Amino acid sequence: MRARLCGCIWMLLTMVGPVAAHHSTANYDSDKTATVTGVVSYVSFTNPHSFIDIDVTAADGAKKYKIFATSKVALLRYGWRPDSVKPGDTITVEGRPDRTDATQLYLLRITFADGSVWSRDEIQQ
Amino acid sequence: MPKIGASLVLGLFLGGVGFLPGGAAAASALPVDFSGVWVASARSGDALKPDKLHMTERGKAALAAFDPRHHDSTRFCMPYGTPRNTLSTAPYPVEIVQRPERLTMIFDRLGDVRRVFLDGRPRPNPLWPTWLGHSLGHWEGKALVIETVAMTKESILADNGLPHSEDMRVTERLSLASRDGAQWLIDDITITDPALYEAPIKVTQRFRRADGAEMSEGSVSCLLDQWRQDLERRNQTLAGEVGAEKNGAPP
Amino acid sequence: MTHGALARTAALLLGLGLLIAASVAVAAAPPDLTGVWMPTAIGPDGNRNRTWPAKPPLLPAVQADYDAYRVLAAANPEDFDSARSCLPYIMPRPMLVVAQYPLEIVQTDGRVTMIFELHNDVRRIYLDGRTPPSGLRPTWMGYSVGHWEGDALVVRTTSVRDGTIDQPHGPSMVLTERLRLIKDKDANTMLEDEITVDDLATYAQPFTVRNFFRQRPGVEIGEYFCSEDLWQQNLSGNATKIPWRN
Repeated sequence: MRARLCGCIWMLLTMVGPVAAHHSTANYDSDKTATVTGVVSYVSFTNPHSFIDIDVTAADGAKKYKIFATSKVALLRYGWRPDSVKPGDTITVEGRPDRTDATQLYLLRITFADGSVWSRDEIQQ
Repeated sequence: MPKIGASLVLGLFLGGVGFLPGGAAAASALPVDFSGVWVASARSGDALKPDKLHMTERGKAALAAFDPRHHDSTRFCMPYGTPRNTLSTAPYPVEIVQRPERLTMIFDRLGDVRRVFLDGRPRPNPLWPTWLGHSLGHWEGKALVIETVAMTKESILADNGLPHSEDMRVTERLSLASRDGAQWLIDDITITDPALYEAPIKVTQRFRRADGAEMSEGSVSCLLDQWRQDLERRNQTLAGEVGAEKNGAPP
Repeated sequence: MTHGALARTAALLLGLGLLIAASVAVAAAPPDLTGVWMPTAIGPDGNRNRTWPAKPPLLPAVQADYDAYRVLAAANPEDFDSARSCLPYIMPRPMLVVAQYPLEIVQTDGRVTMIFELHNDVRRIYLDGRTPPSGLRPTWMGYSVGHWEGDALVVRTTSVRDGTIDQPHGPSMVLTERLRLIKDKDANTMLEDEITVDDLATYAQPFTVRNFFRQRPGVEIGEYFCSEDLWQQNLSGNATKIPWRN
């Protein structure tokens, strides 16, 4: 007798719940890192994830990057301040690029506007 | 006869000594125990009418800029925040769980959790503004005095959008009272925010004990609505891409 | 023995009996689990701990759906990012979190209250000897009643909502849980939570999972309101794409 779970996609999607506490990191290239410097246009310092929009001026023109980081509670617990990143700041980010979109980076290391550096290693596991 | 009495007294005394270090210790460390489920008698936030409050020019400007579609956190499943949670919680219950070193208030509607530290700890430094604020409590006889600071200015005081600054200070006096055969929790609240209000705002919120009241799961009903909207938006995209058929209604 | 002497002896024996009973009660006082506990993926023996079996004993029909889900999830990791929902975790998952989001235990008379940083959820365990009411609507946390057995808090949880596709379970699931303070190999205190999952409509047999927690000084539960991204975007008026929502 078929279990109550339906095999169709709709039911699978509606039954989906928490797989991992964080945004899936499977879509980030674990072999590559990229480093960009840009001006912050938007900051979402939030749970469950944070992200920063930055405008990067490269040789081939201006590009918009999205930088992902972990949740606000975790960042605050391990060294960030609520005002660590603000629109208008110039920051440098080292991160893992998304496999399909190189303008999306998962944050590994950041140099804040005041020159201080924070690394993801600061989060105790 | 007196000799029987003396023996019994001696025996009970020995028994009583044995009991003292046990379970009685925890309860005796609380001058008053506010633990239980409470339901507010009214939304005392309704008593916060702008025309009754003397607001500064900055306060009046902030109130004039209030747009309920964008500036009411509860529309986004965000918490009420302190002190709006205490002022506007009716008719939903609040549960208090009290230990000697901390008192925890769990608001049923949207799940605000307030922690009042009773262990004499200092304010953290730095202290960032939060939705629930930072609450320190101390006893004055049978009243618990709570001082709360560092509440984010993204919260409002009442449904009508009354603003507050980050420098707002909320002082509460919690006490128990018996009236009409029922137990009441009385919360005398004073809101001090001179940047926006020329005089402190004083409101009393009364809660009736309701230990049988059912507690729901906090913000779940709000989040379910938000989840369903998100799902519909995504499935409109996904259904187009994959060509999946709907089979049954969403949960 | 005279009448009076008999009465005196009886009175003294009564007193002594009370004293002995009281001493026994004091000696057997349960441990206090109160505190803010941070999950740890490393067990007391120093080895990595798995909180869910690699191959749970799923019944064949459920296994088929599970395998189909794994294929879809691997191909579309963004779509199956559950954190986007902000809904509570469904028991037993709140107890099996390994990521660094603490849980607060508040132990009072007749009650243990748990508050999870993920997602600001509350679990209530009733120790007053009650039986769960009948006709309960299933919830994310279920309905939990417990009692002490020596140094272990034994908890029985029923009336849990259907599980998610990666941790499936149905309405007849019963969770039996043992919470204990233990020492790790370096004699540091840990909290051990051992949960037996019993759901014969989903799993061929009951199975047991474990999670471990440590206290870290000065840690308090933070504010985790996970629709904050929508709230902030609303405040800013910025129309930027929130990646995990689109």
